[in-house]
Amino acid sequence: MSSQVETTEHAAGTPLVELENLRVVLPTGDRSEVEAVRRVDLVVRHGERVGIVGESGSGKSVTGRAIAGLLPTSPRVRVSGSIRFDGREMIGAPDTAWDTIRREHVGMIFQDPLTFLNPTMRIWRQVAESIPREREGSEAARRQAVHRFLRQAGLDDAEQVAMGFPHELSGGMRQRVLIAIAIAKLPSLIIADEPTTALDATVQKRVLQTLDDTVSELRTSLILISHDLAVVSRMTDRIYVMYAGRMVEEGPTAQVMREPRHPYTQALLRSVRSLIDPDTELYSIPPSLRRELAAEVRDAP
Amino acid sequence: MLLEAKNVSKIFQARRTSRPVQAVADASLKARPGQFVAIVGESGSGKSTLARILLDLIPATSGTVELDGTPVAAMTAEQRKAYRRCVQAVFQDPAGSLNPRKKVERIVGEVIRLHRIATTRDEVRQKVLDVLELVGMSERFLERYPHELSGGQRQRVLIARAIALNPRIVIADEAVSALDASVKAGVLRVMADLKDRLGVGYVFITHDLPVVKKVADYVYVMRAGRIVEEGPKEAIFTSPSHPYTQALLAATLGLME
Repeated sequence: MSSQVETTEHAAGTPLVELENLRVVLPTGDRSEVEAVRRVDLVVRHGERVGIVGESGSGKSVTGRAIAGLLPTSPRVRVSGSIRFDGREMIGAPDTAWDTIRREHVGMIFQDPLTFLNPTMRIWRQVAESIPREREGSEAARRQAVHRFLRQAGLDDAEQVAMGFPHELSGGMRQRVLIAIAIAKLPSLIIADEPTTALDATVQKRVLQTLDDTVSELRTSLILISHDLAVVSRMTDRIYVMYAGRMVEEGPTAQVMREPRHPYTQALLRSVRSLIDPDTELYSIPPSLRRELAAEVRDAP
Repeated sequence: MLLEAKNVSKIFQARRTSRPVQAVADASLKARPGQFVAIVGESGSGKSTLARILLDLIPATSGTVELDGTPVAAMTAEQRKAYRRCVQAVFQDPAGSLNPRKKVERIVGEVIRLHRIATTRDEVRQKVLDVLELVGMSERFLERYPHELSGGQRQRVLIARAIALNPRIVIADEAVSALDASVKAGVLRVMADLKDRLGVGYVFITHDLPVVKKVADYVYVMRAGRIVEEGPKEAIFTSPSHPYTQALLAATLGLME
């Protein structure tokens, strides 16, 4: 039997993903590079929902990609520290070990489904490809499974959607297809990077509900990466706040929203609230605070 | 001054064989200097097509756009040039609207020269500095290329370029939608400030309802090419009458406290 069944039924509370001192350096030009992730520690336990929030350039997506082993393979991309998946060290692990992680354990949902979906392949085949080989049954059984996953992802018209191509679907439907592909592996972890940022508000609400339901049903762990604090605050148990590649704050979501400790989190929340609250003056994070934070990052060991 | 769309419709026919698409259907709206008008709607509602018609970038299939009662289609070359100065545009993607090979000074300076707001080198430079100051940017940005700026700074350069021509109305299509909260707040503050100080009016096109609630005076709600509801902001947000407006408001996610 595949190990992924064991992992999904693993006792809740034990660590599934552990990052320790993770550092990712990415090339930005011919000779320049940027330290996109700076000595980050992060834990995701079995069945836990964790949010990573931050502004553009904070390193939140790079962190998510590092966990899924989806960083570019260029020799100029340097990753150090530790990424443990169910206790197994993945930094320096052979490609085959990463393949297993990506194929069986981690489902990814991105902001733009069109870059992820194959435009020339019918939907059912793309979902079917995601079903692990050892669970592969007869053709008819596979088709049935595909329909089940599509329905679970909120596509009631599963039979018709399955026969279609990506361009025939609306943005919200494509995002649901991505959810179906992700859950078809029965993964132990779903990483959703800005899954609803490109969607209209009414569609966003329904897609989030679907993600919420499927994650609960499968007891899958979730890493939700977004710049949108409203989305993350509704979907997660615990939250990490990133700025300039560093984790500046971590805590239970409700507590961080109520009593943020780090000056950056405080300023970020104040700015988000100023956009919502009609009686508050519009507030943006002062350049002086950004300079202080940049200096802190520079002087960090 | 009054910018008015009167019963504007737009039908797109992609190929002779395909079914025509009605992007805008019988839409009427009014915008004035000093007023923050918002057009809200989801993707495909026709709000961006209406914006492009207002900007005279594409012709309407029927109906007219009028400035103080003069239809844009009937304007003389001179009047049309004045129209293009009075009604300016700011789009969503600043990287796509800025020439990557030109520095900020040239990007803003060339529209000033083109419209003869200033002619000599020193005058143009001074005018560039003036408008950059209005959007909160200092002299040190003159020598920067677009890629050396952050998203919020690029958006402010676009606003600076738009207001360099002393427009009365700025049509902003999803101008802050892609920005982080803090940067969004900063750009909106600049826009509100220009409204207060220079009396600039806005036609603000967005799907972002919290922002509309924050800054708009008057709101039009579009769906499937039609304006389904309009009214002062307070009325729209406290007692929306159209079911679509109600659905939009219900879908807005607030912070979980």
